[in-house]
Amino acid sequence: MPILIVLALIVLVIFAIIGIYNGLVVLKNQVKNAYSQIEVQLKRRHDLIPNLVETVKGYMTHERETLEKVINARNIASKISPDAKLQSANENVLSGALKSLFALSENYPDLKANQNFLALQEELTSTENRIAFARQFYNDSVMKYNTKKEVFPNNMIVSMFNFESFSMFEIENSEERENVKVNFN
Amino acid sequence: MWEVIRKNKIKSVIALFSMTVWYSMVYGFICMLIILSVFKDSANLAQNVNFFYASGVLVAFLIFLIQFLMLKDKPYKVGSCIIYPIGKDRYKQLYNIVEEIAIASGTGLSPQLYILNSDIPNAYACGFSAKKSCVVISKKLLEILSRDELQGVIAHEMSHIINKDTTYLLCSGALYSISAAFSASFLKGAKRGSRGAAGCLLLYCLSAFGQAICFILFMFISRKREYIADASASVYTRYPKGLADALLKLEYENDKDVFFDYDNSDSLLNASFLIPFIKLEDSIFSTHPSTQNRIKVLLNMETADYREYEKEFQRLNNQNLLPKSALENAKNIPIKNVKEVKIEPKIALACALGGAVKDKEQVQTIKNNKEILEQNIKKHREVEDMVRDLAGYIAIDCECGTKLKIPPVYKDKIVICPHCKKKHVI
Repeated sequence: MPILIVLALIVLVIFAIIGIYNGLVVLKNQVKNAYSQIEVQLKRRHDLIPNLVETVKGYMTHERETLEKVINARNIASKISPDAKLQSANENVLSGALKSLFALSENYPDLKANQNFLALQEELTSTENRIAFARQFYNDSVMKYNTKKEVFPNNMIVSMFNFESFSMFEIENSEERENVKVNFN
Repeated sequence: MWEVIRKNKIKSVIALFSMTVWYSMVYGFICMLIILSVFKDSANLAQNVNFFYASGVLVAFLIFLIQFLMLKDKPYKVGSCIIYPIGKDRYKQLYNIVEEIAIASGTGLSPQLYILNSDIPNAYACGFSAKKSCVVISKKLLEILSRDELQGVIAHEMSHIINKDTTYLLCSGALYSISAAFSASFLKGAKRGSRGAAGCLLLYCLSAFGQAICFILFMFISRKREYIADASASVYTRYPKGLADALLKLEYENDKDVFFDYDNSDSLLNASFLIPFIKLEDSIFSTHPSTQNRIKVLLNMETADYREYEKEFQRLNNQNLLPKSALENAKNIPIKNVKEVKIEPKIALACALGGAVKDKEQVQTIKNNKEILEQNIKKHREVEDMVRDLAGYIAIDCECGTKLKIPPVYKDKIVICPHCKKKHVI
């Protein structure tokens, strides 16, 4: 009888370990999935920028410097680096360059009335939103995963198996958080 | 968020199950009576009552099951307004926003989009499962909302789908419609005054009682769900002000349209809308919390997370909304900061009138056209005022520049200006 109880306990423990392990794997995959979603959206932005520059070039002849800055930032960011922190820094530079481009475009009424430009602007606004949302979902997932990893019985299992850790996307200064909104009134 | 969904699910299952059990019992009793009347001559009747009752319950339960299997998965019409699906090319922005929210929620949800050809600004979500769900937006709503506001509204509607509110609504709608049909037939039987009228009356009372209880329960859950969807929307978009602004606009627009024909909208249909079609105070019978309350909670939020929403909700309503486990992870998520850039009115005008303006001359022509248009509107208003004058309308000029036109059917002595809230005596 005592043997049976001990056996039952062992089976129970094994099942608990399996449950925790599987839960962690599910979360880990969610984090990875979220990260690939960010990459998809970043790629989308990198693909849109050449179109934008092509459209804008004819109108903004005096803003060569800004355009070059955008292209450079785009070229650096499009070589996606495995380090999330470095990548996010590069992307922030690109965001800043794009923002200054859109701010400057306010001075060119003809450009602002161009249908192609408006469509591109909508696409880029949406892409910026998607990147922000993908990052926030990634951050949420990482936070959930990290918390689950550190909680008491789980941390023992984590030390037994190899569970990698992820770093969050961070935005350095509050200025970077500000999205430029266009007001038509 | 999964904690909220789980809690929601448990609550809906309990509500639906208790409703089903209640009606199965009542209708089981009827079925038993029917079966008994068929086998009147059977000798061992008394011993078999239990058996008959059980089979009656089973039959009633089967009816419910069939009804659930036949649930419609399509968006419904509102009154005489037409609904049509929309293409990706024409409504690129709308599709973009839907995809954004799908990313923000991490669900990859892609509901079908429909336009409701109506001048009333409103929106709703429906569908039995998340895969087959759809979001319907009225034409007017698309016209009046800005991008951020539209994002808030779409996030709210998609939260309904993600939180399984649409499934619940559809199920309870089906249950409720069967029970209403049964109640009505009992009432008819009782009115006819034939044999068994008393029995019919008793059954009607039983049925109506169950219906009332379930209705109140349903409304209560439905109201909380609106708040929860608001909370989810503000967390997804990180911008509660967007949804608040949209609700404010809707409230204003719907206040203007007092002559809308409400005939075809019943209470359960009402429950699925962004803001209620039928206006009621925040009572136990209303499907929606008052829009003002919702706006207040949204505008009071200082960070965009569930904890903050719960805090503001408690301050206003003195009750809990979200389960504790949902609040653990969420804290201090900053609200998106939106910096406004002003565009010259001239350019904004050109954009508003269809874009593609090549030179300054064209801008000038458009400006002239706009002036002509404004003059036409002015003339039109004058004629309208004359017609109103003849019909017995009273016109009051408010200090804020609004002209209040009071119809002869208006009985109150005091009227409040919708813009500056100043009271005027007629």
